[in-house]
Amino acid sequence: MNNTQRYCYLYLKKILGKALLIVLLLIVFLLIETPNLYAQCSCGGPPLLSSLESPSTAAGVWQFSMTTEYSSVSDFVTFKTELNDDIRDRTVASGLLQVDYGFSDRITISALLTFLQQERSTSTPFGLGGQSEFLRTSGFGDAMLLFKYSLLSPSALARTQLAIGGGIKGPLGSSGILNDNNTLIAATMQPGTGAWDGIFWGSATSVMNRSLGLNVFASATYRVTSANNSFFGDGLGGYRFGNELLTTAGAGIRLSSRLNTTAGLRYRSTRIDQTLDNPADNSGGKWINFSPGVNLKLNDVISVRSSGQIPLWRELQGTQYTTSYSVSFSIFYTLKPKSTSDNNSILKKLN
Amino acid sequence: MTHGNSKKMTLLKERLGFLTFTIIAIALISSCSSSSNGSGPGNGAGSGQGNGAWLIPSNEVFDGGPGRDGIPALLSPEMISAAKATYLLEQDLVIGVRVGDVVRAYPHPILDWHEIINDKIGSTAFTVTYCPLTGTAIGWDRVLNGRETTFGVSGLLYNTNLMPFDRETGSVWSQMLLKSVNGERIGLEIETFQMIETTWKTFKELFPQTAVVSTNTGFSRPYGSFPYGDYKSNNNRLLFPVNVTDTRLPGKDRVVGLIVGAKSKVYPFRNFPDTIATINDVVNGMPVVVVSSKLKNFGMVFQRALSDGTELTFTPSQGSAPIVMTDNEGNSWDLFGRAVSGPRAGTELLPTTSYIAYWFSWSPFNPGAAIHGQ
Repeated sequence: MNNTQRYCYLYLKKILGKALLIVLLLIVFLLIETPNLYAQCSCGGPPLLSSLESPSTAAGVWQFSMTTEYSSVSDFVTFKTELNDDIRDRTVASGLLQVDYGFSDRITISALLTFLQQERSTSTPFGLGGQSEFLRTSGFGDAMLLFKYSLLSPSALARTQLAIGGGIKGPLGSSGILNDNNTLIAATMQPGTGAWDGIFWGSATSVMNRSLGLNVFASATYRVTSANNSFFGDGLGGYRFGNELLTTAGAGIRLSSRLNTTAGLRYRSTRIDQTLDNPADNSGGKWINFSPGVNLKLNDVISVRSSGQIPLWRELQGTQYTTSYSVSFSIFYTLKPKSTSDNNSILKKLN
Repeated sequence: MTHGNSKKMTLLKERLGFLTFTIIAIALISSCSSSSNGSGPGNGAGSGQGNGAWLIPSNEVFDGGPGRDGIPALLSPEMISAAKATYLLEQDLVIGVRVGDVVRAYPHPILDWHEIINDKIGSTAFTVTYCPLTGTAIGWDRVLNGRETTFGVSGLLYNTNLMPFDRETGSVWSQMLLKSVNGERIGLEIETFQMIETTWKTFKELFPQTAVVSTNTGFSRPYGSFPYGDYKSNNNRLLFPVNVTDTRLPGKDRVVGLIVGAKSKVYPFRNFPDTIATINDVVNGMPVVVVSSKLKNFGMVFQRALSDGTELTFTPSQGSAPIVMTDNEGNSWDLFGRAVSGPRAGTELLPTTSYIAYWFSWSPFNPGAAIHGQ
């Protein structure tokens, strides 16, 4: 084998090795899905998991991000078939504030706060026209704290990042909002869940071609839920959202020094909800969405991102309303620590 | 530019950048804020779903999820002949209504997805209300205070039971309390009328001339699939709380419930013989007859006293549809309580306030009910 052939062989081997690593990571997390993993009505709820795709942060670095997301939940689907129905409209608008801090070279701490506004409207049937009901709920949603650990030794020249993590979601948001007539609004319309959940997370990114700015990424998050045992009132019983698995895989390419674009597939699977410890029919499901995005670096510390989700495939439990599309906009601010040379010059001036 | 000035510029850029981020972040958060007023960590605002006082504890009324009209009621649905109703299975339950000589069937496969059907036969306007969670089908007169209205599904539940609303005033009603519990018409009681609930096979045999609701309702629904899994047969499965639990019978046992004044009595299907049977009973001073069949899946309760005061005694009649019972005067009666033949042919038995329900749902609305056979 001559040098050219040897170079091509080693390069291909490296690329395939990274691709295999990412595929294996996806398979590991997909295997977490149990045989009876049903799906959940995609009826809003705190969209915390979708924001956990970012990798870990370098030591001493603070990253702040603010995301707004808008989802239209108006497709009426029975199992896999979309039904023609224009009775109900549902939207979910959310704001997520995320703070990441690189505690060390390998450990990152992430905290997320959410704010939700959900709207539900129905129209009067049999041709009478007009809106029958409009309901809006808003408030702070649940919060999450996550610890991420980089498995691979971090380096500015490293092509691959691999991290895992775990954390908790706390019931910061209200789950007991009443309607104007003093009746309890449905759990799926409440900003919070009223329950503590466990979060398991993993992420991998790899630069395939530095000159082209081509990279691949994958992430997986699994939420183990608990019940809000007093949702219907003390001693009356509770509500529990189903466990949720969210995996994303995709690729990004740099279009210019400041602009890059991404495209990915997102797979989501949720188990059926439980009400009074019984299955809440017409909740839960599996979805595959196409997720394109554009990232723009404004300067060294600020970047913005716009992305969306378009349903490609879904298999729902029963008959339920599900997401028609969603769009989001994020802004990121990175605060890096002062360099060592800067610190030394400051010390010299002080002395 | 000196080294010091360069550092100052870098620091200034970082601070300006952070300030820019903060301003944009606040603007984005503010764009999510609700325009509704309220206090606390969250608030809700709705329109027109009843307001003011409740006759029942408001903390026992729950939003089922779909919202008002989220489950669309039907109005004057398309009817087809029995022969064309090929979407129905023999064991599907239907609700039978007769006005004059016109007979119509309202099937559970349709009602499971709409819960309320407003209809009219001749000049008689009525509403078939059906709650799949309590297994209750009750016929309502939709002429209130001389004005015809239509009912819709409010999306609210009380003791897991359907709460209709009338479209004229927006008042909320309780199906099994048989009265308005919120809104302008609070306290107004509904006039009910008796309907037959039985299998499609039985109803066709008894009333072959019946028309039946078509699946061409104007809505796209998977008619024929039950929306609630094994709910009908799982005794331990409820989706919303009830405020009274009575374990004298299994929760999902179907019973024919009768209300006479402040008293009530139930006749469990499990105690009915397979053949047609009659029970001549007296409940809270009212002589009644219960005509039933477990195999043919029906149970109806009528008053035994006629409008002229004559009190009849009934015996069952087998295999002579539509006749299900005869009386001591020699009259033969059908399942709608009309004399088909005999000296009183054409006479109709006086109705009772009675309907079929799952046992678990009867007690919260009629606590301490007597159980026939216990």
